[in-house]
Amino acid sequence: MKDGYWLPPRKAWLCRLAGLAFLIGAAVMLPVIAFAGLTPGASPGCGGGYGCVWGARPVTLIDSDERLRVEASPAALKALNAFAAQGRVRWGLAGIEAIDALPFAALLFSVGVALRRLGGRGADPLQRALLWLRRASIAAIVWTLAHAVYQTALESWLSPGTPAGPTLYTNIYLADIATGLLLAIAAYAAIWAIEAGLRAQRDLDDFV
Amino acid sequence: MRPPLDPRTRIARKARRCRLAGVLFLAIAALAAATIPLAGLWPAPRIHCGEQGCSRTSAPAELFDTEDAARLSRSPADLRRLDAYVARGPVRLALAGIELIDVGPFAILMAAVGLALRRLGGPPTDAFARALPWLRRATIAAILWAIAQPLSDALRQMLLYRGTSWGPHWILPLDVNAIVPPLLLAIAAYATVGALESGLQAQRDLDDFV
Repeated sequence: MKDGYWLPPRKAWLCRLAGLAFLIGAAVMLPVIAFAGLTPGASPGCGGGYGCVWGARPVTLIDSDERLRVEASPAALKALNAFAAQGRVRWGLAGIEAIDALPFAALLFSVGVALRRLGGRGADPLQRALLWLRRASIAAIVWTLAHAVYQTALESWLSPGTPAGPTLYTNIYLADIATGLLLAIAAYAAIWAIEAGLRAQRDLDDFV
Repeated sequence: MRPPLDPRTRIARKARRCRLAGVLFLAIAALAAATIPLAGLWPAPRIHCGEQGCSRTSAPAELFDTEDAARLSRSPADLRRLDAYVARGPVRLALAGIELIDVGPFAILMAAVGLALRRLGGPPTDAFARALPWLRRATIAAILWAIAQPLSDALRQMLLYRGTSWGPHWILPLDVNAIVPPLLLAIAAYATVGALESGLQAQRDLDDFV
């Protein structure tokens, strides 16, 4: 039973269903990119004195002390909103969102395909699933690194609309990047080891 | 061109690399665990780079979210009060305890991955049967970690509110953007390991049957 790896029918079905959920999640990232351009900084969260509204709040995209300065002065807030309302700026915001959202979409997509493979029939689903899992962990590594670029690009892109004027910010949260990278690399290492282990088993079987 | 290696040599090499990676992750787990007391010793380490160059700060006000930090920065008296509050021994102990909730699952996750890699680099006959339970524990730790992140943030803020003039507050960790992606990925990892386990189990059962 070399190629006979497949799950019991119920588990296989669950696995395919979970895979489908992740594929849908990956597809949702495309509207997310569009909305980053249409309503920058909007979030379904309630509270903070703003009520439950879905409106553009570009100030929430700024993460440094500059945000405090903007929030402290209504004139600066108005200037930032006017700046972020320009078409050129909104295209840029959508593009910057894509830096973050596309690797994440690739990650969700790869996990989804891997789960579909694990729940599938056909020849050697495990090996084909592991290939996609490895792609997922590479996407996770890229996503972690892209997130730092995203933060930097986002804040620098909005900086002409703030009192500070055009500035190149490099907000690097070392702890977040290190944590994300470690998790992604851990996943990669585990998948690599499983692949190597399976190959070793097969080689030994052939050898014997 | 090098002559092709004997499969056994190649397997042995990969196994050694695997065990080495396992040691690396165990070391990272130990390091992560060692940072837990650091949260009591140096709260809120942050490196910010801008026009003025890079600076290393340790302001406990940064442990609040942006809106509260803004309110804090407008009242120097509150900032001083917070600094004095954070300087107290029990508060530092509590900060380290909250860090344990925050970093503990991460350390367990790294240790479990390390042990799984050590098992996978072991004798190939029952490597999977011994490694997959550790991978499952790793993914459970990942799920706990995803929940513990916003929870420990909320606990930390609730603790620090007591050091300001606003007094004690309740905070519900409901930031969807922060909770959902890590939780989703952790559950995906759990489902994948579960599928691997039951698939390999099914294969073994079939092999036994034949």
